[in-house]
Amino acid sequence: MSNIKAIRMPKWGLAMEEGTIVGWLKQIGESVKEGEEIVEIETTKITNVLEATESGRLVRIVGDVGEVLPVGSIIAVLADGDASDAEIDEYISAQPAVDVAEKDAAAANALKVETWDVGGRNISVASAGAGQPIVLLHGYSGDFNNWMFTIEDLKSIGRVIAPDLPGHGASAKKMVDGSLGELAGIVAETLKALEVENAWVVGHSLGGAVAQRLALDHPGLVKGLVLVCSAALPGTEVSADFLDDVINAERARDVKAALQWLVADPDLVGREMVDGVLKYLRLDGAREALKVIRDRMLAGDDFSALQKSLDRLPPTLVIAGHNDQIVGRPLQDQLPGNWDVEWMDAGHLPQLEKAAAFNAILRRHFAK
Amino acid sequence: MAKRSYRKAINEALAQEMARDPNVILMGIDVGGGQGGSGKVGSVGGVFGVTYGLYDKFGPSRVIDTPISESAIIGAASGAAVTGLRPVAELMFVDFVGVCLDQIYNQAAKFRYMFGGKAKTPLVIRSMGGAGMRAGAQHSQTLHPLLTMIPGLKVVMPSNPYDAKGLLIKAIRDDDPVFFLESKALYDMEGEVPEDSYEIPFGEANILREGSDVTVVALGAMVRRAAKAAEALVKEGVKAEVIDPRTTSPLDEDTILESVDKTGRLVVVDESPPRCSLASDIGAMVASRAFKSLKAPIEMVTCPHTPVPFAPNLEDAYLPSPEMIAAAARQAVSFK
Amino acid sequence: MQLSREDLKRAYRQMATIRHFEERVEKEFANGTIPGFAHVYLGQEASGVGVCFDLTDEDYIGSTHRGHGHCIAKGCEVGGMFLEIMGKDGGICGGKGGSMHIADMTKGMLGANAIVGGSPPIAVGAALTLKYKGTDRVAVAFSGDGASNQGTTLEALNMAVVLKVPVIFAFENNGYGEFTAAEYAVGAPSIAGRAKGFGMPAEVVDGGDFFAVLEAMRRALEHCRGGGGPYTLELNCSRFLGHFVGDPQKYRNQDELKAARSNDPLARFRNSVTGARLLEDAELDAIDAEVRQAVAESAERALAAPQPSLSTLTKDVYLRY
Repeated sequence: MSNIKAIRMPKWGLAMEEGTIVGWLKQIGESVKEGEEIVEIETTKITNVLEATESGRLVRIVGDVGEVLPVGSIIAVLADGDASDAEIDEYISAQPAVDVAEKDAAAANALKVETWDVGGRNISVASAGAGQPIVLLHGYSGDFNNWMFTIEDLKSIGRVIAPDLPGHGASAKKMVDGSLGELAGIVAETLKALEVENAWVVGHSLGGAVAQRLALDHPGLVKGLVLVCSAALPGTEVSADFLDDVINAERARDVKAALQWLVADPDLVGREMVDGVLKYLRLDGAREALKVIRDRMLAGDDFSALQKSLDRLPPTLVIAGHNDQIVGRPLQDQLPGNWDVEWMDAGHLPQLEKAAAFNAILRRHFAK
Repeated sequence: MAKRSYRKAINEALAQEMARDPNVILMGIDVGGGQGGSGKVGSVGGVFGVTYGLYDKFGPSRVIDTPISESAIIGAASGAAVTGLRPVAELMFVDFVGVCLDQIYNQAAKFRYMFGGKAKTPLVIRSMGGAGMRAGAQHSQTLHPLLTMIPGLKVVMPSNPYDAKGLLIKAIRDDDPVFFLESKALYDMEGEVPEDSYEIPFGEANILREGSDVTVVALGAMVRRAAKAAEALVKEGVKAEVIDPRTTSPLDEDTILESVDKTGRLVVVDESPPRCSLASDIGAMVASRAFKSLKAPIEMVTCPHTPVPFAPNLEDAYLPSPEMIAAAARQAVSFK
Repeated sequence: MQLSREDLKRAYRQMATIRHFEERVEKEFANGTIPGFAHVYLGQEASGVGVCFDLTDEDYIGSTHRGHGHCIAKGCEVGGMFLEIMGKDGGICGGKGGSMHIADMTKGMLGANAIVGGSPPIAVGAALTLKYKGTDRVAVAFSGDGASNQGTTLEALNMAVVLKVPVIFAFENNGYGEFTAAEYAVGAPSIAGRAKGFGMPAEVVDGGDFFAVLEAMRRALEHCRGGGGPYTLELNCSRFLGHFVGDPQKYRNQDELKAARSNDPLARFRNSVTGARLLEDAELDAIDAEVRQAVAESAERALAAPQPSLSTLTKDVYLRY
């Protein structure tokens, strides 16, 4: 009997229970390599491409386009050589659906979310994996969920740590002045509490500016920077309209409209993504915190200070989206010569919009 | 995010609001419990234990046990509200609304209008309704249609723990009188609830599931049943969009209309006898405002025009079931 | 009891204002310029003025369908009341309330109430607020003999005792609940006796005698402010007119109607203060003239005022919906 292998509905993020098959990128009979994009799947959060978890020839598509299947169920079958229909049928009927949630929770490197008391403030930190620390800092009005695909991927190569920044997510909402110094200071203290001494720091948007501040104020802590659609690079300017749209969004439809600014393809914004942001905005103090941070951001001094200190930063990779409507495109010729720059065919959220490609860039960079 | 029961979510909302604002008080029958007895005061926390622990935390001046006098409870709460407190009055079972209705619809709900906009009545009436507990005809009704038709009153029907906490906090902070109708069938329902305080605005429906074939609107305890029906329908290739309006007054008409524009079909599930129900209200609204979008007659899944029966088999048959909801959706989808 | 000349004049001015106001209401109603119903307070002036005499804007009252007198005694502005009763723009409730729903929160007036027995539970709640906030203020529930038979009232009496709140139940017993005599409809020998049965002090007072009312009210206030809980006054009053303006009152005989008029609280007050040489007739006459003039001017202004804008129809149902 040929070596038959299953491709299953993945679990992306804590809350995912089922996914919809949007489209197959491989046809029956085509050969598939592990890591190759094979199928597009839509969750209530976002649409993403699944990379093959095995290599082989695609011999059976179980999940047809439009079908909704629970996490862990078989969506396709690969085989090394030829396999008869009978063999495939027998294989499928012999394979129970995997309880991915249970398997995931039992894994040593499973995602966990904990609250730390950092200088009197509660800071919520998501973490997974072990080894070299990789710190992920989300952007304005985001939380660790912005990194859900990144965490899933990188947890096999390091200890991924994604705090909710002060004023955000499940962290304390009370802000002192909303400055980058305040945000970076809390991140530094959080890492100290987590006994992290030296980490890759990946910052997205506002989180990129926080990462820069962190590297300047705590140089020993930062091994290297990755600035993703970062807010404080030469040539970028944060869209004040976007900030206001988020702060003033009262209803789900307002939030959806605001989030659609973030991505090149507005259909990517799913109900759960909207719900997540809406649940955050409803928390006492969330909008106030966002206002404080917005005002400080738009005042500009914090960001211009960063632009004057680019040369003092450790080796840095910049990832930018061609269609970023939130911060625009950084001016590559004004970045230090030793920095790497990767352009992605995406909007402001490449880590969600083009997760597989994004994760591959990070892996390559960390392997250097 | 921690899981909490619907009961605990309500208790937490009350505790957090009482800690935040000293003007928030509770009053009602046995909200503390045990006053004047030979044992421990505060040992009850309401007949279903929803307010348990609050007496110990906030004391007798803020967790006020009253005689069994619903008119005086709701009337005094209205009087306290219009003079500056934010009382949360408990009307144990919504079936008892008959003995204090005057205080609700002639007094609290009318103060503002009748007094030319010069009165503010930040009153919350918490009560529980719903069948399925074998409690008989006088302890099992929902009665939200009766309350929804009262101008000046807002009516909230939380269907899950997250909504229960956020809607109750909103109700307490709201400056208008609010009837907060809990579902006793849901008290043990668990769900993710943030520890921090948060408000869910009134008049914003929750879309539980998106779908393109049929819109299913359900309220309170019926929401879970509608979601279950939608799950079953997916396996048949029918994509139902499930909408929980959360509040019947104000009602998020836009979300329902937009959904029907998309699906062309409407099923309304209402734990209520059919006449003058929310089902007929929402059905009429859609028929008059989205007539051109409709591809099939509106289906209403309601209780029969009877009181709630006691015998378990009769009571089970009385309530809209997931099967009945799914059948109504199939009917709508297959209409030619 | 020793009242200053100023206080005596204040008392008379309030009673006279009610008298002239209600007489004008009676006239306007007959002219058809007042829509709906009007229940006037003629003959009961000493009761409302006596009960409210020592109250401040921070004390609350809840009133009845026969509430004009309570409003004036609690400080509501007469011009706004006329506008309201005639359903005009600028009325104290914007023309949305009418005769039976006049309220003024800034004066501690929680509203006339067209539901018999509507006010007592609300006053208990207002008293709960006052107690909770640690003030020495009180709430007064005005009710009639009719309301003493309502369940809401009896629940409120009990709840007030149980919660020990500073509320004074002022039952104005004018002998009739609508067209039925208290003699028939109140089963107990007295309303005060009933209140005592709930466990609070209560007394029967001559409601036509301003001084008797004020003295009793001062005892009630002392009791409430000392933390003693609720107190009841049963104020026996005479209703000059019927249940509403235009009621032919065939259920009352001529002797009774004459007796009511002869128990006129304004005349009794006048006799009392002039007899004791505290005030002169001329002083009281001057007050009458002045008040009559002011009331007439207010009424004329109200008659000439425009109706409320139709745009207000759907306003003020909610603060935010």
